Amino acid sequence: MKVKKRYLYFLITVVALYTYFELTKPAELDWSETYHFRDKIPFGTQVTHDLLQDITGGEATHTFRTPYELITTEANDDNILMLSSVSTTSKLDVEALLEHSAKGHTVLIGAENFRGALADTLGFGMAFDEQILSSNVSDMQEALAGESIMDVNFVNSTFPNETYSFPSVAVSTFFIDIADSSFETLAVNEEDQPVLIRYRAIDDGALFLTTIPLALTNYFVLSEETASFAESLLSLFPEGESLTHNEYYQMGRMESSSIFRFLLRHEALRWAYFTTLVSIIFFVLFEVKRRQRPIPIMTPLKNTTLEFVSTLGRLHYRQLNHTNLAKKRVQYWLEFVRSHYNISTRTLDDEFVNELSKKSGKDRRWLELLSKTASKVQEDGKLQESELMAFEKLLNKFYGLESKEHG
Amino acid sequence: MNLIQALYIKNRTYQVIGALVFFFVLGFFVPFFFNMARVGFFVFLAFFLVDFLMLFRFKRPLVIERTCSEKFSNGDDNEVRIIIEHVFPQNIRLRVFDELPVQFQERELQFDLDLNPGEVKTIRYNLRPVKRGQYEFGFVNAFASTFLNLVSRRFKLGSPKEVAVYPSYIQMRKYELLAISNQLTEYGIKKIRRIGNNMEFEQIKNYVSGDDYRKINWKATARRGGLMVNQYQDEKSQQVYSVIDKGRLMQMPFEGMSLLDYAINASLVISNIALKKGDKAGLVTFQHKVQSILPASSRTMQLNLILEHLYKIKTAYKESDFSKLYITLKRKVTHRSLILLYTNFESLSSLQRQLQYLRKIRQQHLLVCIFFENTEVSDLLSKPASDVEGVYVKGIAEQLAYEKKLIVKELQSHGIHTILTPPKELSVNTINKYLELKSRGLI
Repeated sequence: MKVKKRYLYFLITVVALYTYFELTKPAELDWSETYHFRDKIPFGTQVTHDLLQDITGGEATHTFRTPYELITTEANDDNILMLSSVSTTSKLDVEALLEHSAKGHTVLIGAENFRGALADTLGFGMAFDEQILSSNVSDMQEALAGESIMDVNFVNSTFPNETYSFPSVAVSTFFIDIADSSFETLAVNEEDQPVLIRYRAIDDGALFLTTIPLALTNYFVLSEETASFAESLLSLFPEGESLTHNEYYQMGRMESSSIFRFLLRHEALRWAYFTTLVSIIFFVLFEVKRRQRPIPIMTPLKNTTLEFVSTLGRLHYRQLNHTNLAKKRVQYWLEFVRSHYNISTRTLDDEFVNELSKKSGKDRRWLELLSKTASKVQEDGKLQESELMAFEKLLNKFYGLESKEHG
Repeated sequence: MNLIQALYIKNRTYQVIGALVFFFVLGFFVPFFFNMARVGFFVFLAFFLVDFLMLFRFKRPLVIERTCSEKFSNGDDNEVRIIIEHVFPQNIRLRVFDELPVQFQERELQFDLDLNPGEVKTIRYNLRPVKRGQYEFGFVNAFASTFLNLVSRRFKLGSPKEVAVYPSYIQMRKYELLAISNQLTEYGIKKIRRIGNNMEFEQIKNYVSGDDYRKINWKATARRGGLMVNQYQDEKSQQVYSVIDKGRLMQMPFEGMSLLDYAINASLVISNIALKKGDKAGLVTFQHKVQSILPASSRTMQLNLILEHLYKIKTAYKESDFSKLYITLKRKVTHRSLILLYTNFESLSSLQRQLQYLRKIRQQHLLVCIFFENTEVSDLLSKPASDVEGVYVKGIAEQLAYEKKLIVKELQSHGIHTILTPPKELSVNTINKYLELKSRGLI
């Protein structure tokens, strides 16, 4: 018990020390890209939202629903801003968004990578700056403060003719394969690759796509060099109209999306649910109780004769010396004959067979066969496998084993 | 707290709840079922409560007592009885778990019974221990439930009890009667050939029909005027030593019991019979050295001494040293005695190593070497082989069995009596040998 206590103290000390160091360690910045309007971390969008209020002239709304749900089922009538690292819009979403913009709304979708139905439907491709991707971005802070810069310019005359210098990690992707007929390029990076485009097929409203969603995060909105780029982006939305920030593709459904929400909403299911839950708790509590005292396992003594015999048997079997084995069997058989029928087994001749047949009451013909095999074995005659098996059958017949099996 | 400890929930409760849940779910689609299930739920709760109250209303409604003998007989069936009484006013169902000693490794011993009000029932079952020593019974656990069968109440009754497992005294008594009344033959156990005559004169008695008329004492007949015969008896006061090998080879178990325990049981039986026949019984045990000697005696206490001695035999199953045995017998056993040596030889060569000592012992005593037929091998031999490998295995088995017979021959050629016996029949074969040797007057 003393020893155990010592270990316990040791453990407590270790845990306490660990906790202390964890607590006193300077807090690390969270560099994850959430685009969440409440997040004050660098890649959240709280600051952006304050800006948005200026545009919309009121609180911007938020949703964690898919655009499809938003537009068709909730009949949302706002302009839409969608920011995410990866845009994985479904076909339904794309259709809804196109319809929505066609009705005269403005939609801005920002993503570092567009996957899913959107690229296919609108007909554009994505490419990555290999150099940036291959550089190891383990520390985001270092990467942002690093030397590597990517300049971004607007090419459209309606935008200020300025050059915005982004750290190159922020502008690692761009559009390719865009047909001039369907897209209008609004901004390019320093290698003239488009990073902000507008879908031409929509007359009334507008559908913008950008590969620099990071430009709208706290970090870049607050950074002097890039703040005006964000402003320009936001100015794509008509002033005074309400706007919905759709966070579905980054955050997922933030509301309780589990089946329990459904279960709890309906009374019958709620009853079923709670009854099950309580009975499971009862089941666990009551079924773990012992019904009798525990019985430690004691292994009983084991008779290893059979294992021993079969191991030896297999060893002999490997050598496949049929004659040698048959000799052992003949020995045993003759002993059996001697002790049971009191017949001399010195010579296995006709007389022997006669007497054995008389005393044992067994058929003379196969007794003869048996004694012939036996004498052949005794004279070191070679024995085939089939003969060995035949010998076994004869012996079984003699010992009356087969009849036992049938009877 | 006690209440919770004693409360167990029966499967029916879970089944009912399962059904209720099913109807609740069904009620999601058809509201009628929901109402029905809700009513069912409260009805169930009511029944649950009623069941609970029926079981837990009384403080001590059940009395259970376990009775069994203080000493168990090793290798035999020993009866255990559990007597159950109750005061419930209704029928109850009981499921009884007896906490058996751990040596039995029995985890599923349970009895189900129905008790009418006021009924007393007895459960009987048999236990066959295969090891000597202290055995501990625990409590008797009974789970009572009513006809509602929703909950059950656990009773932990009966008292823990220690039982000592002794060498087989049941066999001892059984064979005692048989041997005294010469009934071993009648039971078909074994035919005893009684060769020779006992020449120890006991008394002259009146002739009754059936007496051997060759034994008529004519002188006495002339004096008394009626037919008189001489009556003889077996020789008495001969020493019979059971010598038990506690070595490595005696560890092998058959039907769960080691050869050593078979030998111990047989020694007890034979000592008892020897004492009853007026002989002196003694005991020697040895492994790497001789560890105990109980000098032969025919005192009344002797059988008890032997029993206690046998009960306490412990062994490390070391390699037996027959030379030490010879030396000890030479020094301590000075009278010519019947030495029943319980040992085991698996091969001729292992016998050859010890043969010189056995021959030395034989010079002074009447030595009976008792060793065991390997019944596992015999079982193997009684089944036909299906393939060549099987034939080989069988061939080897036959060789082993043959060697045992060679061992018998070898010993007999040196004038040592042998018993080659299946472990189960050890006691009977030993008694028969003893009776045979006595009637032949060989001691």
